[in-house]
Amino acid sequence: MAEAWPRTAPRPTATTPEFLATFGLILAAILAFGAFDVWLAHVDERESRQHAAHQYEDGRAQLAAGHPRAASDLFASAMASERTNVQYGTALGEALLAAGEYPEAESVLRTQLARAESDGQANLVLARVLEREGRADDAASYYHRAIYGRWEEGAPARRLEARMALVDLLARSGARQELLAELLPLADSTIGTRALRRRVAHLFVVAGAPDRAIAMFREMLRADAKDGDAYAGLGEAALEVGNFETARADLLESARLLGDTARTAVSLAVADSALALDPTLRRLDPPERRARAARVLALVLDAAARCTPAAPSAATDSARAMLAPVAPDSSLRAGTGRGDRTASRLATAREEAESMIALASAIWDSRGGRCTTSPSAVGERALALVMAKLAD
Amino acid sequence: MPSITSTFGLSRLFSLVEDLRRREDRLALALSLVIGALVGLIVVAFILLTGRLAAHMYPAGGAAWRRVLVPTLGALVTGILLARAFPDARGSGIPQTRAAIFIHDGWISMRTVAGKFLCCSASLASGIALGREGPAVHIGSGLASVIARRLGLGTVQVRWLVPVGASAALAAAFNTPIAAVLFSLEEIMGDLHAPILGSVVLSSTTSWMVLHLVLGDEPLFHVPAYRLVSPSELGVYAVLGIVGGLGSVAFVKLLLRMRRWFMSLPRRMAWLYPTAGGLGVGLIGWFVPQVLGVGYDQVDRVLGGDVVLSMAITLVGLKIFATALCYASGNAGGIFGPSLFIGAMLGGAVGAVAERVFPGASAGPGAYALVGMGTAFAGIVRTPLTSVIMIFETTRDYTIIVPLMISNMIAFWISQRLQHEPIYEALARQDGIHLPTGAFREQTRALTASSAIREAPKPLASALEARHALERIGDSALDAWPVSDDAGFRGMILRRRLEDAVARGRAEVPVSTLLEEEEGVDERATAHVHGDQPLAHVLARMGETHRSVLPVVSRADVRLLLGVVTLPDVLAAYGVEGDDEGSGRSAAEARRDG
Repeated sequence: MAEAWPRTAPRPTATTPEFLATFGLILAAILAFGAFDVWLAHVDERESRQHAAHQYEDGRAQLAAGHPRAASDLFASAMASERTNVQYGTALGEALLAAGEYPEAESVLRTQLARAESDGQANLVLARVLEREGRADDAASYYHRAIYGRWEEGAPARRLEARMALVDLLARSGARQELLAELLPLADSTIGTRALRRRVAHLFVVAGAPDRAIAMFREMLRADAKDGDAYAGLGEAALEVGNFETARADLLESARLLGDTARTAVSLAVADSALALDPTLRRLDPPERRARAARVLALVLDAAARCTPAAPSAATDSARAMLAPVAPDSSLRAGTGRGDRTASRLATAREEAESMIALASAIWDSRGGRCTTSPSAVGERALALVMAKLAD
Repeated sequence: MPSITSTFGLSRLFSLVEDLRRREDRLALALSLVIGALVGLIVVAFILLTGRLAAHMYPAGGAAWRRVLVPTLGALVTGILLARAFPDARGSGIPQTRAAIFIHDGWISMRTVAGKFLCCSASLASGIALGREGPAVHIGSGLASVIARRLGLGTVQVRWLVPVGASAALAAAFNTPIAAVLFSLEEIMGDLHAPILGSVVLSSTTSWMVLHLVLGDEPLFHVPAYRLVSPSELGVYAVLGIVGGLGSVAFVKLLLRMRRWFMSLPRRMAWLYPTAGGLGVGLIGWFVPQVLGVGYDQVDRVLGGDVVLSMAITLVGLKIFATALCYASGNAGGIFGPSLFIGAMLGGAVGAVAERVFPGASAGPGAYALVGMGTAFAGIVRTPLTSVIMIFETTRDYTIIVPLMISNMIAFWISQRLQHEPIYEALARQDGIHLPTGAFREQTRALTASSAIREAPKPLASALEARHALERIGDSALDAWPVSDDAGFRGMILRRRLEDAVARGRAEVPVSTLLEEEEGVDERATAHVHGDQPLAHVLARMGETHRSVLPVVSRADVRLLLGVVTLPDVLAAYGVEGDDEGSGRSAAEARRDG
């Protein structure tokens, strides 16, 4: 490096030994300050870590006490003291999520994931944030990353927690196929606690696989015959597969074992309604079957009218005609025999019942996705269960 | 044997050192490295010590009364130290460094360095609303000065090493080595073409490496990825430039006015005045703790987009007041850091407003805070190039350059218009020190040989005899006359030379022979200047050649005479009308003749 120092510079005044001594002194100062700085930096880092850890603990306590804003301040401070600690950033994201500040939480968590993209906890919290923001697909993606991500401790339990959160999301969004795919690995009886298996079994019902749910509940009952919850689940699953009588029996047994009728009251009411409505029960005679089919058809028509009131179709017209008051039976005026009349009437009732059921099924199916039944409305749910059974 | 070996080793070492001292380029290289390393380590120690002290003065969950008591006591203690033991360690340190370079031959005492380190550590840790960069620059410059003097270097070399130390200090204090180089050249030296560029770069780099070795690669600010959402945003950045410029002017004027008032108070009580700053900032800090100290943690939060509009506006006002009060009252600390704080808050506020007015069409407040930092710096410190590079170095993102330049230039222009004197020069002037201003340097650069050139007289033919040449010259005012041959201009023959030749019976000797006797056969050796060379250089050449007339020749062809420049013409260009215009005597001759 050619340095253009002025040529007019006077000659140095220090002697060579003085020059050397000063240079030596400077080098000694460099070494001394180097050692001092390293020590000071070490002390600083240690104290910063301790400070950050305290703030993190305080933040956790605040979050647990339901003060997410105070917690986020503490986590932010902890993060400022120790930026490389992804745990603090993730906790800040958690606090912001709890405070309802979703964009901020997302930003913080994405920064953390830029440092450690496979961090299970950060992915899990970000998935929850995205879920709250209504971005179910993105959330599901981050739940998957959490499930297959890196966890510092208790990895199996944390992965299970992430999977259950994903399962809940899928159940809420009605993604039955994806839900079933996530539930199948959980069906193994060795995974999770009894309560978790019970929850999984219930979710199988939601995923449209009540048979798997029944199998799981029966397995639970084999282990503990007095498991009221298992009976309740079994009853729910039986409702889904259309075994209303079995469902009723299981629900009653659950109420007896649990000593609590309130929990199963709605399901029991649904079972009773479905039993009263179901035109396919074996013990029914043709007039009773026809009467039930007519009720089902009337209810389906009513439900269809609520969905598409301005668009009557040929099927609904036929149904209304079928439900119109019937003229006096001509066979009676013709003076035919009593036995023949009865047989004929029974045959007619059977045929009419079949026609009404077919028509009701057609109208019900034609509603497509436009109408949904409210799970809380007993009558609606009972009708939906009966129609599902009829479709099978 | 060992004694012979050691003697031989020592003598070899001595000869190496002697060689090093003779080869100034190597000595500059070695000293740049050594100063860079030592200054880097000391500045790191300064930063860490200040941080540790602050952590102990303000423990987590500490009571609010600490925020009043600690800065007040801190200012009182450092005020006594500054008044009694370290009077030169007061204030920022940047005007003092410039004064050392331009006035005191680069002399900064070790006592000042120690005082600056001690007082600023205590003062900044106690929460005084000033910055650490200016003091770090003073410490670094002072160390370079002390080292250079201890090594027995000459005055000029000591002066050159001071900005080398400044650059190393800023690189470590602000973690931006390129901006440190530019700051040293643009602000400290006032000359981006200073010949010490290589040394400044080397020391800055060395110091920055030391910083990273000790403290790791963690950046000073954690800046999210910057992006320009739409070109229309440039309009908002222009508004930020206006706001930043006005804010900068308000800050500078308030600071200077408050300082003038404090300086009008009795000197014997000077030890007490810093306490006013400490108490003032403490009372503000009681309600708004973010105002205390340098405030980089708060800047970091704002850069991350954590901005509440009302709080950002409040912090701008309070920080301007607190910093002005702390500085004006005589506390130790700089305004570099507070400038960035003010800018970040201003930018954050403008960004928050833009986000509300143009939702989805503007970047977040964090991006504006970042540009605002550079804007306020350009407006307050008036180093636009340094501020652009500084922010660019912080983000390492090219996309920020255009908005930053727009905003900076507007702020710089407004600041220049409304506050003519840059802050460091104004501060020095308040202390009775008149530093060379940028305007002066520009004026000096503007005065070139072309501004004093006059038409050359008709040249003498080289074959012309001496006596005829003397007749041609007659009683002309010029003491030298151009000579030309077939190829063009050949040189300037002195009237005295011709007179001597005639007097000694050599009247028939051609002018070319006399010229060769005077200047040699190589025409390129003829003393000359070019039209674009500064008048200072022309004067220097006149002094070296003992001539009061010099030819001005073309850079493309030294045989092409463009005109001549005379000493009276030079003086006239400087605005000095001499009585002896046309005397034809050189200044050197005049001196010799008494």
